[in-house]
Amino acid sequence: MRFIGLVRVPFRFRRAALGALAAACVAAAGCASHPLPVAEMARASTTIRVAHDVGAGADATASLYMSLATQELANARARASRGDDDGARRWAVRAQIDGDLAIVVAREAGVREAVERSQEQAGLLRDRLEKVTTKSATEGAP
Amino acid sequence: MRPARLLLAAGACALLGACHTAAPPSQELLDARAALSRASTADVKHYAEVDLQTAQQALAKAESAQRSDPGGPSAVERAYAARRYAEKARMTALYGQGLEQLENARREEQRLAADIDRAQRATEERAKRERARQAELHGKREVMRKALDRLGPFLGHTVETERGLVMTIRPTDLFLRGSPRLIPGMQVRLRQLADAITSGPPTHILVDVSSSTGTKRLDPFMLARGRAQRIRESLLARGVPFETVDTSGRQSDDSIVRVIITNRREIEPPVVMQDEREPDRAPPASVPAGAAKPGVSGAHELGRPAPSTKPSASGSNPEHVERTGAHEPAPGAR
Repeated sequence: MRFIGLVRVPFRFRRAALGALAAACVAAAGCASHPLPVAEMARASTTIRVAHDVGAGADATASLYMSLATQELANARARASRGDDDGARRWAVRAQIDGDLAIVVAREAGVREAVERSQEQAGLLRDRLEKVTTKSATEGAP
Repeated sequence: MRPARLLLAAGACALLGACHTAAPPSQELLDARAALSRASTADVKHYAEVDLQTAQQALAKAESAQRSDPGGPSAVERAYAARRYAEKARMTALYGQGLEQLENARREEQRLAADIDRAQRATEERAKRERARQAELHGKREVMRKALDRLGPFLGHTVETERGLVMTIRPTDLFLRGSPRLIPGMQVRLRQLADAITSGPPTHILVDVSSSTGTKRLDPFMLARGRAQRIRESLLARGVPFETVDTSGRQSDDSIVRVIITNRREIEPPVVMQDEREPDRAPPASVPAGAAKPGVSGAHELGRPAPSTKPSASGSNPEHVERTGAHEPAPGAR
């Protein structure tokens, strides 16, 4: 008599029991590695929303990435609805990555625009300072 | 024979293995490599080191996946991710650079705004001081005008011109005939005039005397000069700063005493003097303030004018327009 786990198994059935156990483990592992990518899709959806909020729609490049991410998320959902978990996961990951890129591109575009505005404003101020200084020098001249 | 077969089989396996590793990289992998190469700059390393490392790791995984399963879905997905991570690293670096530029630009804006504010405040302050100074000068001038008004008819004809306050006095009201000496009692008048001048704002005084006739001892020029000196001495004796009084004595068709309280600190010689004396030796256009000028002197530096028969009442000199024609009669005429 040998024990496999807590079950007392006669020796002659030992190989068969071990085989069944191994098969069950493999099946369980298989099931565990392919759950529905709900979390991935939710993250991608949130990322796309953030990209929209930071103004990705206002910049051409960011808008392109955001559209791509939206399309990829739709693909992921379609795959998930068909039970293709692997495909759904792959599309969800892509949507997440492209959504992230859309956010960064939108922020970069916003900063670039702000820099241009600020430099333009500085130019105006420089002109004004020159005028004020000239006026001051003229009025201060004896 | 058996070892030879084994050797042949091993060679075939090695060949297959070689063929396996030499599988061409997928387009996704090539794109990922290019993107990472583009992103691997010093700026990206500085601003987006973590993102760049992520991209490098993703590319390594993609390469590995490509080796184990060329063109398989895992290799494609990982290559795609690596490419996007590389692009993200590049954009993050640009974003970091942009933030720095924005900070610098805003700092510059603030500095310029502060400079403008400072310059404007300085201008306003200067204008305020100037207004106060003008008000003070105006007040002093009013005091002086009142004091001059109290002198009454002694001053003769008084006119405010662009050059200043011009008082035209008949020489016969002030001096003995043909002499630089004052008529008794006129010293008091001159003192009153000096008091009126000193009550006003700091200014320069020009005493301009012309004589048409002289005496046996004094020619018209010397007579005019002596009279101008006499007036100057009277003013100085009463506290008018010596450096503010200039005299001009000249021979002319008119005999006139003019006391000019100038508006400006710089005193220009009468234009008529330039025309009558040495036209070919006109002073340079820009004469420094306070420099000696022909026809005008701090006290004694007058040159003798060349005799002239030309009428002195030149239309080009606005002061001559103000003259009232107070002619001194020639000695012996009375």
